[in-house]
Amino acid sequence: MRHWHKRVFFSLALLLGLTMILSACGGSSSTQSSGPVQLTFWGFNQQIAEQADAFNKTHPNIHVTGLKQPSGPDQYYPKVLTAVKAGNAPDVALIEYQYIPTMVANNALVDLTKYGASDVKSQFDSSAWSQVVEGGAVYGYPQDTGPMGLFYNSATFKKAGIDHPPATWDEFAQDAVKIHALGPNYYIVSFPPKSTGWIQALMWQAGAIWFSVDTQANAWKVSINSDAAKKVASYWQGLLDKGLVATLDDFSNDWNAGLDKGTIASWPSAVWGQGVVKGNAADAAGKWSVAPMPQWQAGSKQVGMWGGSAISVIGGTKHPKEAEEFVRWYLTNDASLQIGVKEIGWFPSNLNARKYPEVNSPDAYFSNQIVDATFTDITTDPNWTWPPDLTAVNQMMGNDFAAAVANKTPLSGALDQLQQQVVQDLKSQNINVVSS
Amino acid sequence: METSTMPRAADARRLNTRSPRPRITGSLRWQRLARFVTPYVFVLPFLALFAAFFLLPFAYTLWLSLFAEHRSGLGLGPPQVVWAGAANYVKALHDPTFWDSIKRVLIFGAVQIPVEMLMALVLAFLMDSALIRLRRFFRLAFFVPYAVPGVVATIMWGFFYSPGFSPIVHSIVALHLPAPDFLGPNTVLWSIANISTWEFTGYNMVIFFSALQALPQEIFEAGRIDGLSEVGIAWRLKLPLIRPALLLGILFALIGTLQLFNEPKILTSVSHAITTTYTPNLLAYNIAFVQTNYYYGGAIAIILGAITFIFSFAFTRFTRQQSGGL
Repeated sequence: MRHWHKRVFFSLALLLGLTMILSACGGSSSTQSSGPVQLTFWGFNQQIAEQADAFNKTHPNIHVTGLKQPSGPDQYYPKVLTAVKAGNAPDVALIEYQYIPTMVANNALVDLTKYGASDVKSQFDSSAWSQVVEGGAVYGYPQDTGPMGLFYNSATFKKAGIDHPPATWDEFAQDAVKIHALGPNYYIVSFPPKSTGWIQALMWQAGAIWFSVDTQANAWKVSINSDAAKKVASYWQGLLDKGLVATLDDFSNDWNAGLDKGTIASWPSAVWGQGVVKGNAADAAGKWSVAPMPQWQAGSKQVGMWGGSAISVIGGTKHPKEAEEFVRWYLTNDASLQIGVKEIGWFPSNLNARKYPEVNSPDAYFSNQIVDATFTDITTDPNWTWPPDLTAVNQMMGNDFAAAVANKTPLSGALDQLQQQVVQDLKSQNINVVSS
Repeated sequence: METSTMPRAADARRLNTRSPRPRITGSLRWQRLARFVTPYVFVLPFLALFAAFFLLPFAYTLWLSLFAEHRSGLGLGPPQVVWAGAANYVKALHDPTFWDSIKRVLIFGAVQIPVEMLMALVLAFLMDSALIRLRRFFRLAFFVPYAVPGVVATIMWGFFYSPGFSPIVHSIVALHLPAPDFLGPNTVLWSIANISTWEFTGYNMVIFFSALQALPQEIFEAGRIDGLSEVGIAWRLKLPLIRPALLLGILFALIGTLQLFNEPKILTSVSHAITTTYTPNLLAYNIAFVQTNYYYGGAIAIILGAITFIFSFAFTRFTRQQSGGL
């Protein structure tokens, strides 16, 4: 008699235990009625935790947890979008300007106009501010911008008998021959076919506007394979065909090693690239220099933008007011800006922070050049517009360009293919497209 | 006398309750119920996890795959989720990138599975024979790659393949031979096959080996008396007898091949030849989570599941027809 009692008891206990475990798994949603408001903040840098701590010290009613995320664009934005969809997104996140339309199209950003965005507008550079505005709404505050220049290893250039950085792309191609002559492992640059933002910035510089809005038809005009774009493609095709450039992915191990050893002699990059160069090629202090971006026409100052970030309040947050308060503090308070400028290496959009000595003083690593000055004396085509499905565009683009490089087929063919795929993708989502 | 019989009667009554014809029916109903319920309670943990991590996601994916996002105008407003019926499935079945990815993993499997099985069989026979000393050491050594997580293994092999770091490439170059390209469009599939083989040969070897160990030794004794060589015993007796284990190994490898994901995903960062549509699972993942088209990605995942099921079913049916079952 005892036995079956025991058995039933044991079974019921097991059942109870199991339900408790299962309910505990889903039971994290219990709301805290007291204590500070909890916010989560996603970004690319380790230092965001430090900045969040500084905020928490002075704001007893809000507690922000800064969490560094993997920064590959094909990992980060899908993660944010999936989290938004799943209802467990961060309250605040770093969003690069080019992804703002895509985020907005997925209902993932909060318009800050009703939380006092107009009060802080005057504290930011106006061109940076324009990057966060869309259709009258303000989708975050601008942290930094991404104008491009040329980082180059002056030691390798000198060894190849080149005494000044290339001012034009023609000169760059001539220098490529001289540098490759140093040895089979020496390349002037790596052409990274999957680095979509980098290639887009080169297109931007050449006046190839991929996306624009036909306001009359309320439709997108897609011109990825325009003549201007083909000009850029055939330029790089020439370097690839002659084997004068490497094809390593940027930020890959091999690429890092190439920068460090000086076998990859230059990197056209955004202003934020200075931190990357210093981090990857720490031993190469004094060897790296910075110059204006090579130009298609001598004497011009045209560049494209590669990245640059906003800090945005993410849709679905329960505390948009507190989140905005944090974003405002993050990009206007000296405690945060100092860390951003000194440790992360922002070229700040905040006008006050632009006056910091670090922004305008010589950098010992770059042979005492004033690095940021190179990136301010530029012009950029304001007509470049980002599409509402950049995650998809970039994925298709990475595939097309990588396949072209791997199979040694023409890049211009990749542009034609991408044009067709992007138009098809937009149409399949019922988005208006006019043929160009 | 009287007093001594009393407890005996009580004993008898107590015993009576355990007999097949009980008097007190109430407690028995409980007992029957308990006997009926108990096994289900014990499989409950499995069922709960099976439901939470298989049935529910499967049903949810199936449900999602019947919808699509629609936008309007410039597509900058929030999307509308609309009923799509079978549209995603029709689209997938007409998507050449999907069929290319299926073709790619089938070519992969046609070469990699036989190689892996053959190697595992040879190793298992060697372990089973008296030829090998340090048997325990070798068994463990061959099995260790399986204990290394696939992601870690792929990162490690990625270094072996990378032109800048690879000691393999460096030593071939040092011999004044042309540098091999392990990551090019014609080679990277076989570089992945090499990783899979490295990972799973030892695992299959252990399965085959334990099947061999379970075989009765008398048969081999008889074979020897009848004049079979050791190779003959392995080929004519051992191989047919461990056929079920071999078929199981092939079946698992077939399923694993159709679902290839980790290795190509990680090697993407070092090889331009691996696109986001390289294998069916990569395609489904990238459409669902990078392009955030959960609906179309879901349809591809369901079709892949169906294809995997068909292949497994056809394989088991075919082999059952060949002999009395798995």
